[in-house]
Amino acid sequence: MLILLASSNKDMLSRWEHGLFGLASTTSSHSFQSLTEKLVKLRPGILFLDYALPGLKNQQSIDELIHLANDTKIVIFSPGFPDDIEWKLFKIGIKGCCLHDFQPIQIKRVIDVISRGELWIRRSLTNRILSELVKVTFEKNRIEQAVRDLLENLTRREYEIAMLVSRGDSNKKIAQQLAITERTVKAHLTEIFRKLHISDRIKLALIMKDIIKSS
Amino acid sequence: MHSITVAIVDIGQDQQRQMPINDLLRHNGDQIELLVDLSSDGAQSTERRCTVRDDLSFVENAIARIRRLNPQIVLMNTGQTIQECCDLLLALQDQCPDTQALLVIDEDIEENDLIKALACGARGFVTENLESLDFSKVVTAIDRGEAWVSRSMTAKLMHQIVAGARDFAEANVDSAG
Repeated sequence: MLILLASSNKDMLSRWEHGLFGLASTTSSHSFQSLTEKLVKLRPGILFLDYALPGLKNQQSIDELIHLANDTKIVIFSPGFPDDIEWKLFKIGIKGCCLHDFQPIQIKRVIDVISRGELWIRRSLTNRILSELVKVTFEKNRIEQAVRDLLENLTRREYEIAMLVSRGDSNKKIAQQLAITERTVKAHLTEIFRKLHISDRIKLALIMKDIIKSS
Repeated sequence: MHSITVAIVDIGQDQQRQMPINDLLRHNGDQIELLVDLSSDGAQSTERRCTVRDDLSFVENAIARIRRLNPQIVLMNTGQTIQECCDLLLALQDQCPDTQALLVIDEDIEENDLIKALACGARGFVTENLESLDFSKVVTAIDRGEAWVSRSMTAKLMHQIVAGARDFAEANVDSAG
């Protein structure tokens, strides 16, 4: 596994390299510009990111990095964040938050945890995870219920066509299966889109698949 | 140091499976006070209130008992019975918001079932294999407002939250478009 070390601080880089010695191959970047280039080109498994890296603009830059290399696990090193900021960083997808003066022995533990697919997160933040989970689940259930209510407005035939669309069937195939014309299928779809407040069959397929999955 | 009041609710458990938790709590000194149904004065009115009512559902009976005992933490001895547990957790959030729930689960529980129970408001979980566990540490952490979940579960929950947040963001973009 390749680990990309992004910092312009020589002491920090040295501690990281010491901690990772024999565990993984490493490469380094000393600015945000070179980091983005290496991230795209090398696709490292893990990125150690110094929050004081030249060119890094807080949360926005980290969001950018996550979008550039979705599979790379990002671990941030900083002097310490307030809970709210650290929580926001985890919510956009970072995998760990460490103090910038972590010693090699601690770096070893971090890499062990992150490699196992776990998070390096303070215990005091885990309660937020559960609270957020409750909130997200409530919201998801609310949306599913709203969609179910909308689906109840569909006629039996419209529902049938919506289910066939979710299987990926074309208008022609649906017409053949239901022994109706393609024009009638299109008319039904127009009515389905209107009732569900959506604009295309891809969204319809996604909605139907979610409904099937949750029921 | 003040003691933390704890009550136990058994969901689909037989009597034998209740014992380890009770024993464990009794061996944790003065830090944890286990609340039970026995009335100290033997008053008939109290005895009657302790009785499970057949005309009420399991959840209604459990909530009535939790309200009566008013513990800071309720241990839900769930084993693998998740649906009733989820119903009870939702009712608990609504009717006893100051009582925190900690699940005692079977090690073979389905991961999705466990996530479902946590999404219904449980503040953490421990497995039935409790012998090596410092239970007072768990209860104290929950009482302090922390969660008690394993590191591996934390990552899975976070993954669910991040994915959910992205879905909402996409849905908002769609609806705005």
